[in-house]
Amino acid sequence: MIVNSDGGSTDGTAQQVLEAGLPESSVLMLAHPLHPVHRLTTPYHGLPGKGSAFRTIFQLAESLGARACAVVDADLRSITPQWIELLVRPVLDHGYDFVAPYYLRHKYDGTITNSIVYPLTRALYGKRIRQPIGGDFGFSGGLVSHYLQHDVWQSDVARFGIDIWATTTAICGNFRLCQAFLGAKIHDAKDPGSDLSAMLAQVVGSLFAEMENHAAIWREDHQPEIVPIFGFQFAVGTETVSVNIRRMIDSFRRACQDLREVWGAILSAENLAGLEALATRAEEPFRFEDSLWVRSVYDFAAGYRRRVIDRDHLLRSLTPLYLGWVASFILQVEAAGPEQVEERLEALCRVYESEKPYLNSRWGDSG
Amino acid sequence: MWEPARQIAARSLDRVGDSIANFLPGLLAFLAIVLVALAVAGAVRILLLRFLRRVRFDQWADRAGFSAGPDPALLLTRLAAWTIMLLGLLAALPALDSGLASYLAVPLLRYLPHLLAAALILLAGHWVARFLARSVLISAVNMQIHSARLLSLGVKWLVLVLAAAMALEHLGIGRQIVLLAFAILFGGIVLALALAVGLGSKEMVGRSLERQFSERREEEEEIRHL
Repeated sequence: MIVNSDGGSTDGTAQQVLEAGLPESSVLMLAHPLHPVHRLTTPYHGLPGKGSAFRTIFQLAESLGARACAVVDADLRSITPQWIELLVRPVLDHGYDFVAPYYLRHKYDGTITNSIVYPLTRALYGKRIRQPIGGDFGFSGGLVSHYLQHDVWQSDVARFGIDIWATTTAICGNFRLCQAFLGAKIHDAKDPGSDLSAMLAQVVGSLFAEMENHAAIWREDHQPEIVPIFGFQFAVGTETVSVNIRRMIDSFRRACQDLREVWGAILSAENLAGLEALATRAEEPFRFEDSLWVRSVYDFAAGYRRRVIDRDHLLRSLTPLYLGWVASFILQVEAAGPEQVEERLEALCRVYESEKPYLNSRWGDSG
Repeated sequence: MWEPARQIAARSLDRVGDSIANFLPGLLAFLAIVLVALAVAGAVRILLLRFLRRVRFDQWADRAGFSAGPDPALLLTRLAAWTIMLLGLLAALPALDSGLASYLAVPLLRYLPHLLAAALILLAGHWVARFLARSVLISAVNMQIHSARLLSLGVKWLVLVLAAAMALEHLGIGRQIVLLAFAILFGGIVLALALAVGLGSKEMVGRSLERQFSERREEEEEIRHL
């Protein structure tokens, strides 16, 4: 069954789903293809957001007794019918419960994932899931039921935090995890009104909230564990991306002066001094050391937990710091190929893992 | 001759005795109320300080922007103790049955709610000013506005002045003057800004807007962060 969990779209999506023709070749390659394929479009209820849309799909899947369920974002341009098979096949044939996407992306794309979400999730829980907030997932029926048992549908999870919540809940629930290689990820041009600061606050806030909920689990030692990847991995061309590095560095330098008081409440004295030294250093090229970046992220996580200042203020004040690291990263990988970029990110992940005792010390004893 | 004098003296002493007898219960009641207030203030001071230390009030006050001095918890307990003492004193004064005491105590007690309301307005104003100032500062830095700190400071003082004007208005102190002064100050700020933008900084604003739009165009081409 194909379900469009509709959030009030006005571009004719609902009609298109109902009228879509499904040629036999594009239907799922199951042992016994079913015809006709049922199509349903329904508005979701609850708080407006992707999480509420997921919940509607989960409820339908559970009531139908579905063995597998796949969800995909609505703005994808590079999606093919094979994506659905790639996301549900590991569940149906190999008994996995959670299938995370594995994309090929431009080296400058997905920088929040690369700089914070992936390495932090890996350091905390020991699972190497490359795209923890990829947005396109496959689930087993058991995991869907497990998700529905949680009372999170009136929180930020229902609005914007569903991706990291779904991943973390699957990890912490000891479900069987794997990844599916989906090729390139290209989606619609971003909304010009979308604000990096708000986006970063939502993503990192959701991640920190999950850290709070699962502190007892991640504070134990976890050895890094490779999560298997299904699908034939091939190279694809990616679009060129233009970046204004000067503006990013300027933003970081200015923030070191203007946000000194705010960062002073969040960061350790040593890290604050390190950032100030970096901002005033004239030497080229601009280089943001991984250890300083990781310790700063850990300070923000601990500050979020201890509510050292208003949480929204804390999360939004991370933006210039993040831009500083991204500028440094881009300068380092400007001439690098995909493999070298992955090596660079692997080095960052190892710093996240080696600095985990620092996070434990900053986190405090009662959590 | 001596008998009338003795009788007058005896009457006079009786009157003094009566006065003392009449005054003594009032004095005793006054002292009892003051002693009870003293005991309650002492107990409140000890218990409140212990409670505030346990809930880490100092840290909370620091985060909320209420950090007054090195030890906000001690300051608050002292304030509570002295308020109880003052209330006890005001409650005890009428017991002396003195016209002046009642004359002082009753209006003061009636004025007390206004005083408390004004203090609350000032506290809330201080908190709102600090919160808004930080919001504006972070947003302005993220938008890469050059005068972020100045903007934040302006918002902070605007809210503080508004809170002070509201508190004074609540206390009934110079109502008209405060209202007028606030209107003139606020209007002046708005007019000054309008003139600065409209006349003095016309070219600068134009350049800034142009830069803003050209940066927006660059931004549209930039990387996807998610």
